[in-house]
Amino acid sequence: MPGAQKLLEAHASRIDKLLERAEATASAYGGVSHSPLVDAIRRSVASRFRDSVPARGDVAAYLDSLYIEDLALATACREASEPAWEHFVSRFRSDLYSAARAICRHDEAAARELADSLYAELFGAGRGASSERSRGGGQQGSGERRSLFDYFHGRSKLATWLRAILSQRFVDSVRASRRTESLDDEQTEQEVISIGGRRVAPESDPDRARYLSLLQVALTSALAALPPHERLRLAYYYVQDLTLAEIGRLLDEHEATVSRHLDRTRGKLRKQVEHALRAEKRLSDAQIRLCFEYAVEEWPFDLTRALSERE
Amino acid sequence: MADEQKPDKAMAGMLKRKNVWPPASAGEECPDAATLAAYFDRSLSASEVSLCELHFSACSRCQEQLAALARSEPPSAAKPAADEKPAFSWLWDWRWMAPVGAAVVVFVFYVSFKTMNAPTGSMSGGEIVAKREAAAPAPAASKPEKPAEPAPAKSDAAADAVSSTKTLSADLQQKSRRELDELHRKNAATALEPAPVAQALKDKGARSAEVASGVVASRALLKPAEEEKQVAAAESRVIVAQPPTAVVSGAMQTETAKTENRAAETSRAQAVPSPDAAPSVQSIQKQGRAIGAADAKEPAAPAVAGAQAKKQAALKKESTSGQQDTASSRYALEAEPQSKAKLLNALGEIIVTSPNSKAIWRLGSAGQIEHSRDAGKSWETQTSPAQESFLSGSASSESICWVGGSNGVLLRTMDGGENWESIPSPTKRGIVNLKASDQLSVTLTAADGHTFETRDAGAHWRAR
Repeated sequence: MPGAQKLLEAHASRIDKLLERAEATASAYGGVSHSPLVDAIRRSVASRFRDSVPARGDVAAYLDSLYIEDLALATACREASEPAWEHFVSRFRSDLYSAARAICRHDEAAARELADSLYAELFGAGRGASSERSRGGGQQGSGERRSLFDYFHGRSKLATWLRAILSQRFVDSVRASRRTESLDDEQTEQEVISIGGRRVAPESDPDRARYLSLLQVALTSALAALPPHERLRLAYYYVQDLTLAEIGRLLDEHEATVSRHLDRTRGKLRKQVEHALRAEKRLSDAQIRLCFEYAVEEWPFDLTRALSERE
Repeated sequence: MADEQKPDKAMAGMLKRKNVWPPASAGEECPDAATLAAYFDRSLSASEVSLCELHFSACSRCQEQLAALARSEPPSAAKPAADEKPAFSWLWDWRWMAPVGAAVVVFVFYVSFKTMNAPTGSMSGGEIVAKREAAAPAPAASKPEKPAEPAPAKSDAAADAVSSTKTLSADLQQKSRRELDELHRKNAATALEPAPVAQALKDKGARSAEVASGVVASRALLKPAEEEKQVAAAESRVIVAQPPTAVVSGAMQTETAKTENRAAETSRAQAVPSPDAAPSVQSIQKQGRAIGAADAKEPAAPAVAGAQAKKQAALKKESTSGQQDTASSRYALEAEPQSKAKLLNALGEIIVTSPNSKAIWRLGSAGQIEHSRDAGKSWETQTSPAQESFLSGSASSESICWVGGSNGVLLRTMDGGENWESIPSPTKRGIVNLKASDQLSVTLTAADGHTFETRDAGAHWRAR
């Protein structure tokens, strides 16, 4: 973003205060050079306002929100400062391994591999990139190796960013190895017959498959109509199997609030589904009840046990 | 299964299936790790959050990443939710706080009212005067029964006395007031809280009971407003006689009890000004060794002869010098020439002195060691490798000192405390006594009574 430099120049005093704050904590590992840090701030601003023109005050607010201490440490590590690396290791290494264990659900081998690879990449890439910069005299271009720290912009804590990288890598590796279900199948009444990989025996109830497909389509429509925040909450609970506390942490809500909202959303969904079946598909109440009965048989789910385990 | 539960179960079962969820928009990129982290740390703007959640709600990959991120957060790092109420927020609910608060206020007023009628020494002279004047009719109205015990006698006799003493000469009042004011100023300087005299003295034995009665009787001579002042003055003198610290070891307490009693008696006798109240004065004189001076004189050092008087004067002077918890004053408390090896000062700290008295170590709890090279005039804290409380010490010279503590902790210094080293101990019990000959030889006694000695700095121990 070409205007990023101009934006920084317009907020020179604010930048100076950021540098002072950074210096105060950077003294623990021998300090950080101002030039690379200012460059990091510039990249951060450019990344933030890449797709928009900042309104008045936005840049100032953004600069004030930066985790400048962590950005300074990341910059110092990027510059291959030995004291900074020692400080980084002492501060983050054990947490990194703990996070990896939690992400890998306490599979020690997988956790160690995940954390080691990230740590090695940070350490090696940082030093390599620094060497290339020093050899090339600041030459830009495809020949310059980018440090992983270049992607840290100080918008979050460094610890959170490291955990996000671990999470991303873990999920991608699992998804690559997993046999994935098709997520892009169009929902049609005929295709629903093969849901679950089982063909419904036509002689038991010729309308069974139809009822199931109607129910599924109605539910999908109802979900699509939900506000994203409510839909996300449901997805965290039913698809990702998160606890109420974890959901609350992600959505900035208290556990009790999450539970209350889940109940309300489930009730709303049910009403919308029943309305859709009644009004659009012209099903009677008895037929609607049958829809739910067939769904319970087809996709058994112990609601009581699940709720008690999570809550 | 109940019919009403079936739809819920059906819904839940279907929601578990990913193919009911609307897919993400084609071509939409997932946010990068930095954005995910910023979302997790709530650093994104509101518009950014909305955009992200719109994508997250339809993207299982992002949901899985965020789920992993939530799992990996250390419990200690979790921030409270925006809508989370602080702990014990229910305590601040006005719906129950209001009536409870009102009840508490009523109770406090009731207790204060009752307290005003009972004589206490915990109020300042001014407060006592104000409260007495305000509540003057009440004590007269509430006459408790005749006391049979010293403690009840304190309050009951006081009530009777108050009701019976209505007059006092004006000059007597003025003198008493001046005297009390001076005493209270001194009390304020030393930040001592005068304890209820009768109760404090009562704790020190039968003699105190008599004194307490005497105190009560003396109070009977005065107008209610002044009576409390006199009591406070007597209390302050008693307190002045104590060491300037709140904690007094048992041995010292017994020792000072007698001194306090005599001091209190004498002070009170001095403070009793009115010859007009002769009958009551005589009653006091019968109970104690009151001098019966007509005029209240400056309460100089208590008229107790001998070494005790000097000690009292020294202590009083010390306590009136202000809130100076100086090393010298603290050390002065335990400066008895005949017991240098180990003294327990008023704070329960061990004092270890070198044979020539120049070097002193002060051993406290939690491994605290302080050292003085100038006989206690100045102190420096020394680094101790132990965290236990120290129980004993012995210094064979200015530079060699051994200390023992709980759990068999044994330390030695050979350079005056610049460095302390742990010495292998023969016991896990507390080391209650030490006798050091030099840097290699020491004899210790453990809390279980066993005695050990070493001649090679703890490499070998021999039971005695």
